[in-house]
Amino acid sequence: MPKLQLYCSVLSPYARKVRIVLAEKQIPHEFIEISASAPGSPVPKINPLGKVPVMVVDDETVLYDSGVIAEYLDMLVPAPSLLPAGGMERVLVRRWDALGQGICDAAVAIAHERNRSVEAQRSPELMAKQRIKVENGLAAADRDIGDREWCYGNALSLGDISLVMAMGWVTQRLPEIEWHRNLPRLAAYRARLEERASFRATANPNLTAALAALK
Amino acid sequence: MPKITLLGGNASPFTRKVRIVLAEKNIAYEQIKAATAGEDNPVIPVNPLGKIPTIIIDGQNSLYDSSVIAEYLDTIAPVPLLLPPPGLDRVEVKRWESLGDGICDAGVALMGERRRTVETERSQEFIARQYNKFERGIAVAAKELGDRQWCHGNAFTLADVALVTAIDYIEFRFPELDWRKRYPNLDAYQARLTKRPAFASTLPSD
Ligand SMILES: N[C@@H](CCC(=O)N[C@@H](CS)C(=O)NCC(=O)O)C(=O)O
Ligand SMILES: N[C@@H](CCC(=O)N[C@@H](CS)C(=O)NCC(=O)O)C(=O)O
Repeated sequence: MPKLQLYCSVLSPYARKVRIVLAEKQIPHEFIEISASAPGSPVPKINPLGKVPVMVVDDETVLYDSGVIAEYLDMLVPAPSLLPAGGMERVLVRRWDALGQGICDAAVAIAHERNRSVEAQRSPELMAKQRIKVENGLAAADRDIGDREWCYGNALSLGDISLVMAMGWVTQRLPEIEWHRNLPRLAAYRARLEERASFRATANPNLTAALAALK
Repeated sequence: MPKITLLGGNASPFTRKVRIVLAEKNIAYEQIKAATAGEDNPVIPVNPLGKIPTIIIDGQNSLYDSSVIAEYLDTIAPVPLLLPPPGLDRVEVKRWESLGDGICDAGVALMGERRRTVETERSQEFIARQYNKFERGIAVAAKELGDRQWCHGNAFTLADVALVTAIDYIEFRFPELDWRKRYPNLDAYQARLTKRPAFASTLPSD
C-alpha cells in the first residue's frame, strides 16, 4: 500500500467525500487537518489551485480534486467497488457525482458570499441564483432516485456519497433551505445513508466546535 | 451513433473542451448557444444546475458536466482514445484535467466578479485569490510539461484538451497576464496543438 497523506479540513464537504471513500475501503492513511485559505497554509504549495482535499501519494504524486482522488482510491483498493469498471454504467455514476458536486458548489458559493467581510460586497442576486441551483438539484435527485435504495444500481456508489455529502452540508450550513420538508423521500434516503459507519465517522457532530477550532 | 445536442456557447471554456473532443472524434452534433444568465435559464429543464456544457442524447437523456461528457464521448467513439483505461495513467490524465478545469473555474469566477453590476459588491481580496490560483496553476503546468510533447505519456489525451482550453481561456479573458512570454514552453506547445483542426476551429469567441 502506498503512503497516503490527505490534506483537508473536517469542514470541507469535498473532503468528506474522500474520507467516506477511505472509510468504506478501510484504507490506512495519514489525515492532516488544514485550512486551505488560512494565512501561511501549505495547501497552495501542494495544490496550485489552493484547494482541499488534496492527496499526496508516496511523498511524490499530488492528486486533486475529490473526484480524481476517489477514482484513484477505487483503483487502489477495488472492494467495495464505488465506480463501475467502464462504459455507460461508469458515466452514469459519474453524472450522479457531478450532480452532488454541483449542488455542493452552489451551496459553498452561497456561504462564501455570506462570509464576505464587507457586507456591501455580498450580492443577494448571486445568492438567489445559487439557491435555485441547490433546490433544483435536490428536486432532480429526489425525482430520479424515487423510491430506490441507491442512486445507481444495487449498491452504494460514488454517486450516493456525493449526494449525501452535499445534502449534509446544505442541511448543516444553510438550514434555512429546509429541503427535507418538501422532499421527505430524499430526506429518508439521506437519513438511511448517514447511518452507515463510514458516514457517521465523517459527519461533523459539533459544527460550532469545529468552526471555533479554526479560528 | 446517437444524435447529440450540445448546449453551450463559444466563450465557455468547459463547452470548448467538449467541442474539441467532439471534433477530434469526428462526431456530428448540433450546438445550441444557450445563455444561462437570464431569468429563464433554458438549460435548467435538462440540467438542474443550469450550467453549460450539457448534452442531450437522442433528444432524451442529458449529461453534464464537461468531464462526464468527455468520458461518455470516449466510450461511444473510442478513436482517438483520450482517456487511458482505468488505472494509474487514467488518474494522472484526470489530475491534469482537474488542473485545467481549476484554472478555468478561477477565470470564470473572476469574470463573474468583474460582471457584478454593483461596483461595491466586488471584492479585491476575492479577485486576488483567483489570480493567484491561475498564476500558480499555469506555473505548475509549465513546469510539469517541461519540453515534453504531451501532458501525459506519449500521446494526445484529454489532459492536453483541458490544458490548452485553460491557457487559451486565460489569454482570451486576461491577456494582460501574457503567459506566452513568461512560459515559452507553453507558448510552443499551444502553437503546436492549435494546428490541430479541432483546436483551431474552436478558439474562444464572444
Ligand atoms: N472541485 C473540488 C472543490 C474543492 C473546494 O472547493 N474546496 C474548498 C473547501 S470546501 C477550498 O479548498 N476552498 C479554498 C479556495 O478555493 O481557495 C473538489 O471536489 O475537490
Ligand atoms: N464543472 C463544470 C463547470 C461548468 C461551468 O461552470 N459553466 C459555466 C459557463 S463556463 C456556467 O454554465 N455558468 C452559468 C451558471 O453557473 O449559472 C464543467 O466542467 O462543465
